[in-house]
Amino acid sequence: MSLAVDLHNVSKTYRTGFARRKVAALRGVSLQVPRGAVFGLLGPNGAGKSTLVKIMMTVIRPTTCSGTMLGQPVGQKSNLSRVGYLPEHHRFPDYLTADQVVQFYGAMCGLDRTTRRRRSAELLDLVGLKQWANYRVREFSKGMRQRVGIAQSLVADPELVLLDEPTDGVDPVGRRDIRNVLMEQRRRGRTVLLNSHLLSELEMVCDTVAIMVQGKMYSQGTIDDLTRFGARYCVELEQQGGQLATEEQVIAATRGVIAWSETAGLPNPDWQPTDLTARARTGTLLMPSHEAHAAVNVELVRGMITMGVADCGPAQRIIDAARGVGLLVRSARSLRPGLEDLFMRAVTDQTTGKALGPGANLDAPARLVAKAEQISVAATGTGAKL
Amino acid sequence: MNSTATATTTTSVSRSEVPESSGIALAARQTFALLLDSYRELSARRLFWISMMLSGIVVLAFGIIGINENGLTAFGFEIGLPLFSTKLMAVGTFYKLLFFSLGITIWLTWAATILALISTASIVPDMVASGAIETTLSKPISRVRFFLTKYCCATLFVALQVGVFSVCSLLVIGFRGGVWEPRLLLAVPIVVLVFTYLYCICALLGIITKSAVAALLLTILVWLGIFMISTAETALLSQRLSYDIAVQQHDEQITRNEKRLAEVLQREAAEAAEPAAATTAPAKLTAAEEAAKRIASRAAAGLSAVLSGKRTPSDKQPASDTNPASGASAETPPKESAKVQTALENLRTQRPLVADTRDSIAMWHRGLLITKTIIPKTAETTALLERYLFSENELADWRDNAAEGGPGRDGRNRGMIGAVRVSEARLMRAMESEQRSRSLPWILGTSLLFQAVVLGIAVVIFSRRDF
Repeated sequence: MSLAVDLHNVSKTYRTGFARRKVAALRGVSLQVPRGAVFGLLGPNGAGKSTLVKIMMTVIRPTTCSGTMLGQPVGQKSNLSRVGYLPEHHRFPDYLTADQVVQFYGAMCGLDRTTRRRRSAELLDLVGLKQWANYRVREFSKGMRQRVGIAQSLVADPELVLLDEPTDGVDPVGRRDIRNVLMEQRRRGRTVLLNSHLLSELEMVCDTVAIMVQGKMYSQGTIDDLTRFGARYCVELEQQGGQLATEEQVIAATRGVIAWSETAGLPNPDWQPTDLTARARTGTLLMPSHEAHAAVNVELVRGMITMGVADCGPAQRIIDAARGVGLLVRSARSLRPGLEDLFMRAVTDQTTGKALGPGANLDAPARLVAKAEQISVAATGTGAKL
Repeated sequence: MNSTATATTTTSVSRSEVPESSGIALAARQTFALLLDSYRELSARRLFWISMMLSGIVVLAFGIIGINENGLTAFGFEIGLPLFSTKLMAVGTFYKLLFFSLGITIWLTWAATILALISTASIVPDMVASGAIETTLSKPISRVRFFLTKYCCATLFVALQVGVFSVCSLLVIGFRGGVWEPRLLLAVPIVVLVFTYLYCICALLGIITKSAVAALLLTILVWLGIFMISTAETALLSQRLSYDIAVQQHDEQITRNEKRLAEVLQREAAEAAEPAAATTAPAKLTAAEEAAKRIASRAAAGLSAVLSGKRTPSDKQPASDTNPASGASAETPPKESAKVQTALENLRTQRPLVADTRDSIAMWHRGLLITKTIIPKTAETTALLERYLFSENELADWRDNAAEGGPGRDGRNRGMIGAVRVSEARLMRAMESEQRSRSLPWILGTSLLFQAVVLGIAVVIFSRRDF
């Protein structure tokens, strides 16, 4: 697969404050963005997402960096006419009209007068500012400026667009418009790299994501791959009369298909909401000898059986068994963790169970770094197979 | 992932909707865009138009003020100023002087430059402000070229202002004074140069501090420093030249007095010989002749002593060993020679003192001149316009008159230096010729070098900074 962005070992250390204390904003990040993808870069505040994007756009000089962007070495200025960029807290010259802003940046990308006029009209129409084209940017609301920014980033019809928080301050209608613009880019084979906190937004448009935590790449791959860890199938059983079935009823009904453990334990945090008061009975699905299926773990909390598979096949025998003793199926659904679960997993310190604070890691405990590296390796391992 | 993979392979990348541009076209379009943007930025500022209006008022003043043989005229009224009248200068010279002293020296190099600095001080800090710089840096333009283009665009402000002002002045002076002087347009490069000396500092400070106010205030402070050094240098130069002239005048007067002393002594010797010859017998003539010879030889000795600058014992008491035969007239020293002698002695005592003072002033002046070599020379650059606008003797009459406080008054002097008085007019001429003798490479070359160094530092900081 050809890559639009292929970065290795990007690091950035800067000094800050009166004491010139060293802060490692990026610590050996690698990033692979496939061509034609809408790629989401996510991570908590201060994870280094913007720094990484700025390094690609030559706004920040990296401490170390190797790799290419659109086949050219990173940092090559002439390459930038093929790349569009919307900075996070952009501020366009407020004495210019929306049309002038788009045309100015078009000229900076080297477009001739006719092309930039045409592109400006098209793009302002695309972002819904046709009627505002000749008004000064200083009169615009934040969301409108954001739309101008998107138009500006696309003016040279770039092969790769880097958008830093494009939906920041934009209303839902605007967000949908922007989403449509991004879809259109993907349809035309362009690559989009989105940098956002709004996970639901990303989930709707991105094929591939990367998660950064404290200046390190936590994991990257397709959403499907990354969320496979927590894929599960849930069956909720009900007794006659509308009451949720009790655990004893369920265990009695499914004894033939599930080997239940004798004692209750902690529920799987990837499957269940982390609730330390809940006790779960765990077990393994008994498979008929002819089905070559890996062992499927099962968990029971109150009347709900959760299985560690995404497909509905293994659930059928449980449903049959339950219906055989008169229990009703209230619901049966396949569940995948969302980006938010993925994100929370990334930012949770596995040892303490607490979310990591924002910003670069000032203390950089070796333990956490080592762990993040392991996971990263594992994740990129899966990514490489794609 | 499969879906994405197929999507990637099946969706052919549509061709870019914008044509590729070559390197030169790209650079030309970027430069033009930045130029247009700077114009829009400046014209969006009120101050730009206020300065333009004020320039208009100054040009209007040229149109109102006239000159005739009695003095200045305005609105049909006559202001009797003997110093400014057609008796002392040509109408054309008057207008050029007005353009230079009011238009350039006061308006453009002070007031308009401050206004221009205020308007343009924020260009660089705005340029590097977070939010604005990222978008521009992400375009295919190198940081060095971007910075330098922006810098040049900012000087447009002054070029435009001075251009409009100079052309309007040219027209007004042409129609009003009947003089068409295209050299007035030299004001454009010269004033723009002076502005850039300051603006490079402002740009550097803007990059460092990212604050327009800080950059502006510090620039004005630096300007004040340059102005003070320049003023001190001029003051010391004037002192040095006064002492130079004084030393010269001492030398001249010493030579003159020596000559006079020789003459006087000879005359007195002759006078002393005559009565001796008249009162004695012809037999004693030889004795009288001898006495006369002795006096003459003494005079000659005195003269040689004078020339060698040493005092001989005979010089001190010229009449102590006179021959009693030579008579009473030789007993008392001649009055005029004594007077000249005293003056000469006074000159001789003062000369080394004056020369010493001159040397120490010259040393300090040289130090200041070296300091001045490395800083931009705003005053000298402005004075270049004067040099090109007026020929060397065009203002001589007027200047001499001004130095003497106007026609018909006593000449003003600088007071005594040593044993002489230095005339103001002579000093002013010396100052002018000294200032005119400063070479163009020294004035412009070193100033431009300063600018290049400051801009170089700014470019290095700008290129290496993370935004």
